[in-house]
Amino acid sequence: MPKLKLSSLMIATLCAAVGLASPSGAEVEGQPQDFAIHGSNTIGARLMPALVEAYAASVGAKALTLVGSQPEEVELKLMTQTGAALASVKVHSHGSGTGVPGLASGKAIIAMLSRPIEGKEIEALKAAGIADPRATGNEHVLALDGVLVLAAPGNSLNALSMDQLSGIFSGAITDWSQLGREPGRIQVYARDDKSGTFDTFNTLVLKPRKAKLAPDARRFESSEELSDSVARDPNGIGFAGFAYLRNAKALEVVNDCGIAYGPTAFNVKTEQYPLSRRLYLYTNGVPKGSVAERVLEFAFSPPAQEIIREHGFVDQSIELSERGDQVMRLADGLAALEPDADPAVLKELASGLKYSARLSTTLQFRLNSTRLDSKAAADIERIAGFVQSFSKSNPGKTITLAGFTDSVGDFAGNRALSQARAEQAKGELLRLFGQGAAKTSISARGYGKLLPSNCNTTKEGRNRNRRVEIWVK
Amino acid sequence: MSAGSPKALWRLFWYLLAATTIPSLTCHGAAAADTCAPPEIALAAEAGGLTQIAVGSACRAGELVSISYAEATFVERLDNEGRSKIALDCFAGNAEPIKITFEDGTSVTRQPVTDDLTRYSKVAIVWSSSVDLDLHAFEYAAARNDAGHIWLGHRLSLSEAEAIAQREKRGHGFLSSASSGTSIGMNVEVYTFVHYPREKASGVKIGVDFVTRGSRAQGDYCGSGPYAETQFKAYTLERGRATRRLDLAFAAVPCGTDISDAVRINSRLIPELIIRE
Repeated sequence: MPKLKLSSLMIATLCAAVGLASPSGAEVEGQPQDFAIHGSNTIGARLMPALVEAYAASVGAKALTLVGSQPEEVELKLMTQTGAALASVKVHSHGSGTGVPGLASGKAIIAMLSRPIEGKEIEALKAAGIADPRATGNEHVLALDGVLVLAAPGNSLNALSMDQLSGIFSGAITDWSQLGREPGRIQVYARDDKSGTFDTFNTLVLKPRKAKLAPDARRFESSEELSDSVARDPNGIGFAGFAYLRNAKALEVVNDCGIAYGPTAFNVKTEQYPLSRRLYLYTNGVPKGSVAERVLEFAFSPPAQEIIREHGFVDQSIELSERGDQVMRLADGLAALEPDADPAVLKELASGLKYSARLSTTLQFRLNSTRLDSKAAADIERIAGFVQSFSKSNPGKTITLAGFTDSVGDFAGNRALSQARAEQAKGELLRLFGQGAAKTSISARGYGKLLPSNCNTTKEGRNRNRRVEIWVK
Repeated sequence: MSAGSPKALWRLFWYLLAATTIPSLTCHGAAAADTCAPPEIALAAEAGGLTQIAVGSACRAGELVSISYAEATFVERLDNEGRSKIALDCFAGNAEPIKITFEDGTSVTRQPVTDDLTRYSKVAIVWSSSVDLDLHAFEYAAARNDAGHIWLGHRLSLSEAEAIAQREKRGHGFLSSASSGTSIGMNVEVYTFVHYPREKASGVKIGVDFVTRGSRAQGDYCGSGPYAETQFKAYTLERGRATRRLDLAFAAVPCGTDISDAVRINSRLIPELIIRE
């Protein structure tokens, strides 16, 4: 009977389909929860939806991603394998400038910023009841990133100095012939005013030179569209985060001290790449046990680091440098030596560098303080984990916490401050090691303003020079 | 058409098949045919990462056969001699089995047979509702209607993509599409990127156009209309390795909403296909 035969085939095929969709793994229980994440297009266009999807998969749930008539807004419906709703997560990626207003108004539970929160935003959040938005627990570093300077693939330039970048993007340099290339009117591409990527570029390149973006720059809400437009334009130049290289060419950036740092993951992790930055999430007391809290926890877990890498960003896992890189740094450090440097300390530094490899993570501090900043507070735990694992497979190795300062002040005072920062980091590390500390020799050394990793000529450079590096010998 | 007619039943069947929220069903399996010999199934590799499936079963002439692969199901009708040949694009890789099921419940499961899938990267969309979707690929930052914009209106073939790759010394792709030989099957569009040796790192932007909704949402395609929200699946395969399987949807928008050209070919849902050095 044809109808019965058809029904049999239907059931057999449906069984196969249902088998694929059968429940597996733990599922999140409770009432469906809806929440929103607002802010950075750099973070929100791809990375945040991917993290939400991966979170869903990690708890045996599935995610349906929907897009309506606004391309920078997606909704992820999380559901059990049997289709029961768990949560709806709306990711709106209209730029970092929209993150804090979303959080302050209560429309968003998480704000995404591709730059640190600004003074007026801190005030807005305080007014909304968040006493210290930068406190651990409210400010979270999701990933690291570098702003790439992009040109068309056929562009013959390989590197530009910070001054040249400022000249190009402010409109003072208008033709490629002014940079020794074939003549052609330069077309500048930039993200819009709500963009954290634009803010970062403005803060690191234009503002220190009292320059403003050229009024004829083409502006974009989307980093992807910007990158593709630059790649198509032989006279184009623009900037976007690491994940948005796509079909364009990335130029090296020469810092103000004349050192060219390629846009590599290691240089971003050490924050030596002149346009490196942190990608932040800000929250205000995410409800305990909520899906939002679990998504947030997942975003900082080891499995999330792979997703961050897959999406072209720089994760926070720890790498070990080649020893040769350290020797090259010594050469650069000697070139930047100031007259009041103590030769004995310099000798000790040279010896330390020569025989050590460096971890990619650098600890930084709150301004004028020996207190670790929010990223360093999280990094200390990663470092402890790395060192414990490393010590097991490399018994007898020693760890040096090498403290440094900026160039403001005399050598002796800076050396004492750098020693205090190194001791502070050592104390944090020993606290985490507990009894395991006996197996690993950890020392703290202060080298003052020797070996700057950035230029001391800018505020941002000085901030980055106030640091503790971790060396393994 | 009455509710109990075969066509209505098939509609119900495909509706249930497409639904992702099916509660657990009790599957007893269909009774095996007593009189019909086991079907002959032969698989052979076809260039471009396809498997050619030849089905032969004289006693099942004129019957329907379903081919399931990676949660997609296609339905073909056997000819008067009980034969059918289907070229299945292995967009989910050759670790994913192919299940061939006949009306009497007989089923055969085989692994795909393909040429070297590491030569290819693929992006596929699969959908089953009564709407039309178009997959668009933009190679090397191509703009709309440039030579590197590959879609149904400029689909190229494997040999054309290979010829361009040889000429430009970098990989290129082509688009293939399939729907079931019956009126009830799923639809698939596959973009296949043919890699070129020592190519530079780059990316292919992938967009999807909800064609039947068009540039202005109206009628059945907006508000609470039956096709206002359209779900589909996307698969990515990078050099033969299955990397993503995504559940995606165009959300319902209010009737009368204008969908701008920039938004119509939506590139937010499927990540860029990364071409690594």
